[in-house]
Formats: sequence, C-alpha cells, structure tokens
Amino acid sequence: MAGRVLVVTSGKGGVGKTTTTANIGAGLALLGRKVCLIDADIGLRNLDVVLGLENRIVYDLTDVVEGNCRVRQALIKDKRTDNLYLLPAAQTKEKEAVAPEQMKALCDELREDFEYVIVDCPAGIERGFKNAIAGADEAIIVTTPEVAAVRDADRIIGLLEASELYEPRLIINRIRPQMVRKGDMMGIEDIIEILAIKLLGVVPDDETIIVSTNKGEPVVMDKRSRAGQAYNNIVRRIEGLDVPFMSLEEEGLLTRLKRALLGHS
Amino acid sequence: MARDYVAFKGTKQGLVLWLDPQAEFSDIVNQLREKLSRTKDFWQGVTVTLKESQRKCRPEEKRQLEEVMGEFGMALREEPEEVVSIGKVQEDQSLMVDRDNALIVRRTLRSGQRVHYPGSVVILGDVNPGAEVVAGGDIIVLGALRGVAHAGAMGEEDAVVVAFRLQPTQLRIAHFISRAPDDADLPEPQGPEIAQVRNNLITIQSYST
Amino acid sequence: MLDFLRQFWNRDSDSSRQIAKKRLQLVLVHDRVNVSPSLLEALKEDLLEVISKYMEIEEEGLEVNLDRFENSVALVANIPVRRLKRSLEQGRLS
Repeated sequence: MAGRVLVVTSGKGGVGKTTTTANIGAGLALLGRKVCLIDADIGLRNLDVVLGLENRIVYDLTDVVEGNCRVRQALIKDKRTDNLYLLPAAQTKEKEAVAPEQMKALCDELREDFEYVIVDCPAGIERGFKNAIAGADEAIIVTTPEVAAVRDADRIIGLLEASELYEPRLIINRIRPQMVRKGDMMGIEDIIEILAIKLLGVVPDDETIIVSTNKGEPVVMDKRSRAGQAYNNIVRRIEGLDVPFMSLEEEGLLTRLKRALLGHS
Repeated sequence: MARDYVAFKGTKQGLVLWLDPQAEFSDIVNQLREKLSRTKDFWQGVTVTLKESQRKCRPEEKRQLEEVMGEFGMALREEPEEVVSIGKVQEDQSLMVDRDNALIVRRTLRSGQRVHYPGSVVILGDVNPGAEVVAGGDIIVLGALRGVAHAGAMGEEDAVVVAFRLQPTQLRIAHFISRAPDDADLPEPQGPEIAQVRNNLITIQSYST
Repeated sequence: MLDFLRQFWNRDSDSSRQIAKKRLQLVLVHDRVNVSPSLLEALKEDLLEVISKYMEIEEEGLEVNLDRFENSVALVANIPVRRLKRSLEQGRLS
C-alpha cells in the first residue's frame, strides 16, 4: 500500500490548522480509512490535546528520528476511532533535532502502513514548515477571512510552489455568514478571487468547535454540528467525491420545519 | 498471585523479559498471558529481549513465548551475545543511582521545560502540563505535579514520586507507566500524595509520616 | 438609529468587506513582486536601454522599486542623469 501524504499548513498561527488536521483525520478514519496524524510542531505541540491523547505519550517524533524507539512504539491509537493514530511532537526538545530528509523518510515509511498520513504544520515559514512539507504529496491551506491570514496564505502558496507542491487546496475557516451578508467580512468568492486556488471547503464559525476541543473530541463526530458537517464534506472531497458546497445561510424556520416533516432537506 | 515468575525490566538495552529459573514453564506462560492482558494496549508494537542468563529456554519454549506475545502485538528478540560481558557490568555500575544526591529546582517548570538528573529531584514550585521531570531517584514536588514525572528512570523500581498535589498527565516509575483515567471526574487530591510501585502497578496513596 | 442607517447606506460602497479586499489586493501585488527580484532586474535593464537613447545616465545609481502609497501601488524609479543628449541618435534623425 502507498498512502497519500497531506500537509495542513497556513503560515499564520491561530487560524485553526490543528483543529482542521484533527477533524480531517478523524473524519477519514470514520470512513474506514487507516490514518496517521503527525504533529510537526516541535516544542509547541497541540494535536495530542485536541484529540485528548496527551496522557498516553511515551515516545515522540524526535525519539523516532533519533532512533530511541521504532515508529510503531511512538504511535498512539485514538481512543474513539479504530483506524486513527497519532505521532506526537516533542514538547521538551529542540526543533533542530529533525531535518527535512528525516521527515521525508518517516512519511515514506508510514505511507506503507497507512492510507493517509496527515502532517500538522507549525505556524511560520522556517525549519518546522520545511520539515512538515518535506514528505508531502499534497497540501491543504487553512485561512480565515482576515487580511493578515489571507496574505500569509498567499505567501505559503508561493513557497509550496517553490518546493514543487503544486495545486494546494484551500479551507476557509471561521466564516460568519451574517457578517459576510452585512458586508463586514470577506466572503468566499473574495478570497478565492484573490488567491486563485481550488476551494476544498468552508467551515462556519461554530461554538461547538470550542466545546468539542475542550472535551478533546473532534467536532466531525458530532453529526448535528454545522462545523462537523463541513468537515465531513471536506473529508469526502479529499476522497475524490463530488460534494456540493453547503449553503452558509442560517436555516430558516420554514426549511427546518420542512426537513423535520419530510425527513430531508 | 503467589510469586512473580515473569518480569519485564527496563534496561539500557530496552525492555528485557526475565523468567524465574525455578518455575514450571507452563506457569510462566500462564502468568505472562495474564500480565499482558491486564495492560493490553500498552504492549502493542513493543519489542522485548529475552534474558537467558539465569534460565535457558529450549527452542519450542521460545516459540511458545513468542506466540503469547504475538497475541498482544509484541515481538520477542534474542539477547545479543555481547550484552553478557564484562563491559556490561561496568556500564551498570556507572549507572548506579546516587539517590542521596538531590537536585533542588527553585521554580515552577512550565510547558516545554524539562529537568533530567541522575539522582533525586526536588522542585520548589509546580510542574505544569507539558513539563517533564526525569530522575534516577525520587521526585519530590513541593507544589502541584501536573506534567510528566519519571522516577527511577534507570530502572529503580522502589523510587517514589511525592507531590503536594499529585495530578500528573503521566507517571512513570522505572519501566512502569500509568496515566490519569480518561473521563473520570477524579476528586481533587486533598493533601500530599505518594506514588510507588506495588505488585507491578503504580499506586497512589495519601502521604503521611 | 443613525448608525444603523449609515451602515445600511454604506453597504455596497465601502463596507469593511470591500476595504479588506482592496487592501489585500494591494498588499499582495507588492508581496508577489517582492518574491521575484529577477523581474525587477529585467525591468531595470529594459528601462536603462530605453532611457539611454535620450540621455546619459549613471547606471550604478539606478534604483527601481515598487512602493505602496495610500491606495495604490506605484513603480518608483530613481535615475541619476549625467547629461541630456542634444539630439537623437543618427538613425532616428533621418
């Protein structure tokens, strides 16, 4: 088996990379895919906490690279989903301990056993970024509808091209449909027009994300959450399915009623 | 359980499987299976070296051990020749833990900070989540222990971890590992507590002199 | 109430959404050019060639940059001139 290696990146911090990585990983695993997540943010790891696995860590990415243990020993199995594994980042070690060639070798080793290897990239464009993208075949860029985040996304697209990662796909996170309608927030078309790349999905700003992150439970498992639905659609698009983009308009009373009565939307 | 016929020991060579030289082989196999099934998930993917300096195993016995460990996703490896040599003995001595020699850390350890010391470690402050204390001897935290603590890191199973508030992400003593249960709303510890290995398990009790 | 009305009228002309978009487009023009200094270098050579037909300039002192003013991106060239040529070159005169 030769799995796909995806990197989730953004340039700017705080736009929701880690949450996105966790949800894509959990979503793919729910579809029955064998998935390994790699936290490449050495020294500022977060993916373990988002998944609620922080107390299971014994070995980490740096241990694997330095040969203190084998990859299998460092992989942590998710507590809810059978096919989901995490390779955590080191929290107490130096970033420089890992080099891009080593990351590439690691990704290639993991893709033998997993259908998807998803790398959570640290913010910034330095060593951590170069490590994270070293072994990837495809890139997913996360941005929010803010000037600074979109600008950084543009920079990242350029850097990915320079590393021969063409055609990255975009996830626009934390859209607030009401603000867009009022003209107080850039909309999907605005951002796509500016960045000129393919859209992979749009995730509405949703309080359920905060609640699920607090619990260490990816929101994609919550079928009622709109953000969860959005991640589900993204996952199916990654799988190659043609999934229409969901309407961001709040459901009116009438549609909701209709759905309840007729059993479909 | 009357006696331990089987033990896993953490050494410089990694995990080592020790077998009682006097015990019946069938007892050994039974106990091994029982031990492993108690902590199933932990052993997945672990490789263990079979220590044969005290008990020599026949080939079919080895196959049986391998079979049991395979059920738990473990692999058995034979001890390389050079491990049992004079060099090994000297190495062990250099690793002797001086537990009376303690490092005193006069501050709180924050996420990403870590203290490594061959002797015992005393922290005058907290150990926050994401911080790590690794000591050859005991670990004493005069504050809250919320990060990872590894006492007896070179294999001393009688090392202890003491803290005013013992709420670690993960506790390790020698080669034993325990972590907080996932969804339990644990009562907050009311006073100082001590963690130590009892019957091959890390146990926590309130600490009183 | 007045605020509400103002917001209502301003909806399309300069809502913060439009402002954000415009600012972003300007920033990116600059960013993207900054990423390829080779393009500026090529432009510099072409400029030099054209201007040399009309005046003698100090090649070392030539500076070409993209600058951003309040709401536009401008090409700013600093070209020290030694002297003007009296007439166009022979070929041009005839």
